[in-house]
Amino acid sequence: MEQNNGGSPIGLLLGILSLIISIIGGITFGVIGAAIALVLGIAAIAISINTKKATGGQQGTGGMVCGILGIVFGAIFAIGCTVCGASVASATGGATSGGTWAGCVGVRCFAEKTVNDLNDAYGDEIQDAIDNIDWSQFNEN
Amino acid sequence: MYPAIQIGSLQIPLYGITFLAGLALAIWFATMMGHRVSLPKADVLYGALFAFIGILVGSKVVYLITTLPSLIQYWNRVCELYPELFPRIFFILTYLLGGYVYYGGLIGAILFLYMYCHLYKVDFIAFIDLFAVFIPFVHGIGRIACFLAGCCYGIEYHGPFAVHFPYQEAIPELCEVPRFPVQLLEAGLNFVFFGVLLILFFKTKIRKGRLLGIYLLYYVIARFFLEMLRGDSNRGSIGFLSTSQIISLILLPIGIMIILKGLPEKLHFRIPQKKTEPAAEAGSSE
Repeated sequence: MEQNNGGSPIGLLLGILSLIISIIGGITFGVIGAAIALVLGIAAIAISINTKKATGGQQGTGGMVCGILGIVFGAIFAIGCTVCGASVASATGGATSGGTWAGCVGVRCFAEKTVNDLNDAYGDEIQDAIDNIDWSQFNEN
Repeated sequence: MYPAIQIGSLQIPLYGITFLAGLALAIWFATMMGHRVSLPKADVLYGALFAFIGILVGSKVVYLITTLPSLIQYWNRVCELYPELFPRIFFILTYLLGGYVYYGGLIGAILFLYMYCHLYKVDFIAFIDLFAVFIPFVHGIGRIACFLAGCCYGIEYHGPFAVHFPYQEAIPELCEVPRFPVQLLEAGLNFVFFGVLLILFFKTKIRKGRLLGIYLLYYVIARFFLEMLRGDSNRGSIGFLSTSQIISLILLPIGIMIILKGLPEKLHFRIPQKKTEPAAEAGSSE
């Protein structure tokens, strides 16, 4: 017997949000947008499966498909850059590692920002050290 | 090797695409084979989706457990680099949101599959027998993805089949020395064992969850020794053993127990049959 399950529109809404955020968020904000899309996609799939079970498969397909696509795009953007996190290791002198960044697909490249931050933090010190080298000691007599 | 492909102005990471393609293929084959363990295609698909969610959640949780101590230990240095609050929060989120651990994904997948079967009264043991066959296949694809991305790399190695990875700004130490292709070795072993499990599934009557036990027995032993060929020291360790070696030691007796005794009967989660009352006697009905 068919049942009108209230979860169908909710699952569809979450699935659509997941899909939109995974593409736009993944491109513009990288891993943060992708992570939000993953969470929404997981919720959409869980609700849609419950709807399908309750309605004998009659409802819930849209939410499931959108949720799957949202997770797929989110996982592609979020999983792929695992190796980039090692840039944090070198930036922080081995402090951290294994992070995923906004850099591979994101407009805001956080790995690049980390390098820039390092230059800002220590660039002057390095430049001062170079400026203060006594080059005369290397002159041949 | 090839961490990303260029499409226009976008760089698409290959790791996610490769892994998801392998997973999709495995799910498709599983739906085709579900009838052999009396599972409808729809249930196989829904169970697979639940298991996929479990992979994401489980692998992330274990990653956080292994990573948070390091973040806490170097907290002062992080505060030095990011004195402002929002950039620091953004850094923490992007750091914690990256990285996954295989064993966490495996355990998460089994737990979420159990949750699905318990909620909807589907045969959990039949699922385990079916999905256990595809675990090494998906994992093998994942290891190929690791090789493409350059992560989970091997120790320094100068013998035959040594790999010279190209320079990657993200992992500068990767190209410093030739590496042992441990990712490809593990992928190869997984594919071979996938074939073994496939033969056991089709040609024998080994069921009751024992295929999972056989897989666990193979993988915990293989992984324990493969860890010694890994060169990425940042994957977490406790003492002289890596996190994965410790998990392998924990799962070994579980695998043996499953092979010897199988999974408990109550995990079939069969819907109890309603008892039909005998027909009412003549004259006693309305």
